[in-house]
Amino acid sequence: MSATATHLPPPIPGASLMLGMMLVLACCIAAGGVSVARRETETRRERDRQAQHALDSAMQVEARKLEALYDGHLKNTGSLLVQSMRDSEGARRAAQNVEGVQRVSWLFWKSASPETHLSIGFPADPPQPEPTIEREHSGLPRPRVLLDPKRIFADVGGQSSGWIDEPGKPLMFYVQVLATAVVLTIDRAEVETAMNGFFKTWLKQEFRAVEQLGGPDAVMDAHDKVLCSVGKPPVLRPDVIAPVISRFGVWQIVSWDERSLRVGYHMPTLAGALALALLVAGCGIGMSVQQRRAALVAQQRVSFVNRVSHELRTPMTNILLNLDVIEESVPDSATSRFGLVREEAGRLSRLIENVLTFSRQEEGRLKLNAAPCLPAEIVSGIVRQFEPALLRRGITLTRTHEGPQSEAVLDADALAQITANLLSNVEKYAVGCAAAVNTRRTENDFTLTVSDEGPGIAASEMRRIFEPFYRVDDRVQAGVSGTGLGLSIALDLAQQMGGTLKLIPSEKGACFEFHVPLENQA
Amino acid sequence: MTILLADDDPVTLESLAACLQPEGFHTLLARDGEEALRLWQKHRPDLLCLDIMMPGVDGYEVCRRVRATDAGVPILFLSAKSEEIDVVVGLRLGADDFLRKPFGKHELIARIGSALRRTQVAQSPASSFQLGPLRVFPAELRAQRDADSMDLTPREVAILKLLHERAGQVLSRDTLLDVCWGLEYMPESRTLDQHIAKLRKKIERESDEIIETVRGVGYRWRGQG
Repeated sequence: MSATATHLPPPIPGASLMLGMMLVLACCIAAGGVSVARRETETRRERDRQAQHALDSAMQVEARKLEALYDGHLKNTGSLLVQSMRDSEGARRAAQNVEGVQRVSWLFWKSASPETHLSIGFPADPPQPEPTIEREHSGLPRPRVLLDPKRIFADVGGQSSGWIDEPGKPLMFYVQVLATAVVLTIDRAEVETAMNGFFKTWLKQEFRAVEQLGGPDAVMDAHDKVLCSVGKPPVLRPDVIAPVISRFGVWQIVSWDERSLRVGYHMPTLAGALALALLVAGCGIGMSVQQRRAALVAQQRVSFVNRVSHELRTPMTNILLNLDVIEESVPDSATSRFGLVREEAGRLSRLIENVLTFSRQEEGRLKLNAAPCLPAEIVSGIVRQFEPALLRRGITLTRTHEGPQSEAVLDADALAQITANLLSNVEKYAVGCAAAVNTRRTENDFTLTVSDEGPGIAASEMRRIFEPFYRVDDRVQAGVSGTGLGLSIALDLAQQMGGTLKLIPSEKGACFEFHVPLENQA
Repeated sequence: MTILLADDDPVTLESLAACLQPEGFHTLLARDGEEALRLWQKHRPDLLCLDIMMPGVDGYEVCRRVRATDAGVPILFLSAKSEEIDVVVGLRLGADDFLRKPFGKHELIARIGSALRRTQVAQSPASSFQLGPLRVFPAELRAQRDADSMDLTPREVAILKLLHERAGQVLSRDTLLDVCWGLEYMPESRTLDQHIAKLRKKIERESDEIIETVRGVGYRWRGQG
């Protein structure tokens, strides 16, 4: 079973994260409040449109003039074509002189002459129906449009002309002279395009009066194509449309009113949202300051402990060195007391080392230095240091080693500290019992096992013993001293070395196993 | 074997000297960096033990200046500072080892021995002599018995060397004290016995006596065989 030590995350970054989240939340609340409280009111003002109406009338007059001109042209050409049925080339040339003529058809009043058709330009696809007055058609079936002979030949002895502009039929113009009629099929779109071209030029001059008003106004054809415009036309539908209607198409002068958008806010909603946002931001800042202050105090405490522990190291060195100096001159009667002083000095050294390691760990500065060393020898050195103390407490320790005594690359100080912390527990808890320290070296790993036959660790405590400052309660009452840092530090050092420290289930007593892989160090 | 010790704590300085002198090391004591540099210039010791935090010129600076003229002399840092960065700086400046306070005499002597050994091995092939099953390397303060290597102090090396030079002869306590401790020292007779006892513990194994006690006279090594 393995256990992991619990560590609080470094407090300052945590505080910053919390502050950041609270501020983002406050911003979201404020933005949401502003958007909910926002009210838009549109005001529309009608414009003076005299210029637009004048333009409409002028354009209508212009369209009529164009129509009349076109009528006259068709009439003249029709009269000419009545004569030239036999001269198809002459007829074609005459028809091509008029914009929009697609086909010329000759029809006859009670005559044996067949109806004749002449296509001008490219044939339309699908083919335009041929005008006819024959109810029964001879020859190949073709699309045809039946005309009323009574209308065309109403004045069969004289001359007549007119438009045939009926729904479902192509636009046609007829000219009848003495029982012969010429029907011209007109392409309405072609005439419209020609008129568009004319209006574009015409509007250059005529649109100026509207232009001076600043718009938005525009002149468009029936397909919503803009011929000219002023101002930026809005996307919405025009407020006024003035049409210009002709046989060949419809144009429109479109105009929009003046619009302005007023933005206002619903004050109670806005005030409520902003107050809530301020409250959240204030709470965030307050909590962050509090946390920062607490973290600072904790940091100062750790730094203080660190400094004091450093200062303790020099006098500790002096004590240890001088104990070694006088060792040889201690009278036999005092040897036991001398040993006691030495053990206590060793204990104090370990305590200082543990406190320093813990404070470095808390500050996130604990780093290890791996170097070649003899791990089994390091463990033996620590065992030798503990031997007198264990003997005094009636603990019989067995030291064994398996495998070669070869070098390994690891942090010797960390290994020594782990060994000392595990043996320190044996010394405290396994009074009068047997204990064993075993090291095993294989090609790829190193394992240290420290076991004793003492009271062991209850199942409920197994997970918590690796937590810093945790101590088993009844043992405090039993008079066992300690800081509760030893196992936590040992676990942390083991993990930093890339290894594990586990409490191995055993029938009697406690058994800890430290295992570290040694990669490519065989 | 001369060792220069530099530490601004007078008690530490005196304690270090008190540990090393009985083991046969000569010591030079400096209270600050400038004094350390002066003593080094004058005496050219075999090894330097430097504290890092000293007034004026600190241990790092002493190390830097010594290394500028002598790349070979072993340098050990003895410091209460033990952060990884301190160790790294020290080793980058050319120190051979970093001994973290608190430490005891045995650890200090072992580290001094291993630092000397590294430089000795690098500088010259080791000269050695055989004492029964033991091969002694005086310059490296080390003896080898089969696969085991053991650290020795200069005093222990001196005792083994004298026993080897006078193989078969019984050496009186006075001779041993005069030769190995020097005439200016007046150690107690007990000191010699303690040294011999410690030495035996290091080099001898069960039922295998190298140093023989000649009751009432002194000690002897019987020579080969």
